[in-house]
Amino acid sequence: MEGFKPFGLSDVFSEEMLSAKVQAPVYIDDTTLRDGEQTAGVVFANEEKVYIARMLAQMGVHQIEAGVPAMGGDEKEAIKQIVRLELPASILAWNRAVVEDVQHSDDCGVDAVAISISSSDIHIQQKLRHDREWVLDSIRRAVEFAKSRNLYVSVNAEDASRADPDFLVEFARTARETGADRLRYCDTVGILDPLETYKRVKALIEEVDIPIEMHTHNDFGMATANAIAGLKAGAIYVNTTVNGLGERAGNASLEELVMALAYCEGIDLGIRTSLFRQLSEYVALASGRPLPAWKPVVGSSLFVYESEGRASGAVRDPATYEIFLPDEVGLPRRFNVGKYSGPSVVHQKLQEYGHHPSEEEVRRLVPILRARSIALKRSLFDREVVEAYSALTERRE
Amino acid sequence: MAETRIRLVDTTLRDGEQAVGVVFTPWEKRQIATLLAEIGVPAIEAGFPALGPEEKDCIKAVVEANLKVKATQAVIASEAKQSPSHEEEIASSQKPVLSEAEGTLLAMTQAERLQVKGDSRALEINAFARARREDVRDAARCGVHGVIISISTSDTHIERKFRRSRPWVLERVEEAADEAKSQGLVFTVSAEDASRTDLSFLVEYYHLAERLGARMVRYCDSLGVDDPFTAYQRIKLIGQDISLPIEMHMHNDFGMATANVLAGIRAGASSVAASIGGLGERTGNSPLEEVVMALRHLYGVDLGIETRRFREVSEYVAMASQRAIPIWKAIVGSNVFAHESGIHTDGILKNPSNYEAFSPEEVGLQRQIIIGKHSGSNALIHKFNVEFGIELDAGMANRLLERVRATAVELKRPLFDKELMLLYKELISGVG
Repeated sequence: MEGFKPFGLSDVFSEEMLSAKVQAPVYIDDTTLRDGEQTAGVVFANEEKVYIARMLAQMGVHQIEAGVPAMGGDEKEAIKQIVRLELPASILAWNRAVVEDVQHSDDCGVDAVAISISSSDIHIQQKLRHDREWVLDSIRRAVEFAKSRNLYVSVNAEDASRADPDFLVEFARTARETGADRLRYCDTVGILDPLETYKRVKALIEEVDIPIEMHTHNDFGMATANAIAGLKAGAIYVNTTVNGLGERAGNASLEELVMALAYCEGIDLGIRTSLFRQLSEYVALASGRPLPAWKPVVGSSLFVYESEGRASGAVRDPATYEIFLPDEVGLPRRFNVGKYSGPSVVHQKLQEYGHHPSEEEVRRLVPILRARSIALKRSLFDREVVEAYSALTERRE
Repeated sequence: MAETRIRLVDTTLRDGEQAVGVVFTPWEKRQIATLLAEIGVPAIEAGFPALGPEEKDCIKAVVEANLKVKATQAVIASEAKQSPSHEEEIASSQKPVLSEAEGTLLAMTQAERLQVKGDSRALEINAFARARREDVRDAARCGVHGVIISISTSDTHIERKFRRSRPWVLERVEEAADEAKSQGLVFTVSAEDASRTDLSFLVEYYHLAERLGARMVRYCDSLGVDDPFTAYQRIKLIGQDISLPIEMHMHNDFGMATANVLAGIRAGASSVAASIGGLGERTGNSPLEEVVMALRHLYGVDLGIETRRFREVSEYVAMASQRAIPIWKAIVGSNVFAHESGIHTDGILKNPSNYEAFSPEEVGLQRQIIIGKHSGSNALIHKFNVEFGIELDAGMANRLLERVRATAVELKRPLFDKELMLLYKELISGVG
């Protein structure tokens, strides 16, 4: 890959780094409405954007990245509508590092802007076709203009993960000196792993005194882990999307990040997580991208018990296989009979329907139900389980 | 490419099938195993024989297919460097203390030992077994090469699921291992819920595995609660005490399975149990395609897998499991090389590596430029020029772009080529 040197597989890391924990406060800047909508094929209607913004605010998300005003027309109108709601969240608009873009944002009445420009040489030379100095000048002009309009400014270092570290420091310093309030570290192509993320963000923080925000992509499946690694290194903002919706393989997903912070790091962001499933379903519909049943945190099958190994534990005590309760994210707990089911699930299922099968009956029923599931190539409906039981008991009588 | 021996074992047919609602037929299991062997995966977990006669039939169907792993250039090259004789391997595996080189030998898979001739080796087939003699016997009856002996090691599971004690767990493993040896099976000793297990007990458990003659120990993050930092620390500590190869089996409950596997590898683990698409219990496992591509592109380690068939294999597993591949699935989703937004498309047209870590052909996908709400004028000019042979000037491109955006917003989707052409014709004929 251009502009990228592979990580050493056997690098050694300090104990301090490995035991680092995320420190409060952490603020979420959700970009479902911007990076999420930017995904190829996704278009939100304005009323959908407004609804999503309302739900995010109601849930307690701190900042909502509402869109790209420079696109004009309908997009600008949606952002204005969201601003007019006076939600209990900051509303941020995304811009290229261009004064006219920022002017469009100011027209919308937002309180914050992201000013974005590439920081890697590969982007500067092959996409922007300019040089580093031009990049720094663009930052200065756009940030100065934004500050003159009293806007909160996040300068986005696009492709930071492939940038020359020394230039990234210069980039961040320029942003800081011109008055930027924070710097967004973008792993635009999704090529970091958590340990590398930590090292790089830590090094940047040590050089430049500016609050850092993490923006990570999921190209190798590590967006959430990388975002958390950045927070461990001292970043205090994190850019998420509902369901991880975003360019290509998507972004760090809001629901994974919030729950991982709570359960792996012990940080409670005060988000109303019980609304997660509902919001995820809404975004799935509005984006035309159905939610996989196995999606972490909000997938419909997460608290469905079918295999005996797991179900036997869960019947006795859900804590054996549940780190958090289904209610916490708005999901139900359910038992399903299928190929991998054994006595625990079958017993549980029959009890749900008011039957009290003996151990012997369950023992005889299990192979019958497994064979049925295998023949049908799916889990069984509850009704099929109950009928098999009735058939068994009738035959005996 | 770096010289590192990392072993892959695919568990699509076992942990994958354990996913709620997923049932493979024997024929599908054989097809999936065939595809895995064809792309160069050296070892698989084929199922859980103790489930019953139908499952045994499934596993036998896979065993009887007598599959050969298609070795690719990378594997053959590293093989040539260090192919030891069979005798040497056995001798080295019996030494209590292992040098680095000997550790490498032990890490070699059964499939590699079963090398037939030239570049063709038998696919190593493993079965899953609880730590019970009868489960191991069931596995042996299926004719597999190896068995994964698994039991929970966390106090939570021991006390609340089994209602037993730690010594009971150790006894169970001892019995199962004894059975495996008498059946002539190589065996891996797996610690379920290892991530919530007291580290000193986990090391004690793995030590026992070592004494019992296991070829490898497996670390399971059964609930997906590790993060890459804790996973790294724990694997590093285990590796200081245990000389057997360590295998990572990580679940995706917080979306960190792949990151955790890679952290484990960075800490010294040398084997990965992954599944196609991450298919598995709840949120699934680390997806094999993510682990392989991350190793190749982020760490420069090529496992010699024919990745150009990843999309095809993923599609087959998706059909057999009736779980469609999300279009945004990392590595193999149909949309991961689709670009619409003006900024990204412009970057891609100038040089794909602006926004792509690897080329779509490498995983059997194609790049697509989509025209919709977020498109810019450069993408339009490019599309009309390359695909329709029409030169748009900047003024026309901007006027067309305005129509394109308005139409995409109204339709709530990107535009088809025919729609684009229609808008263009309306514009040049002054209609609308």
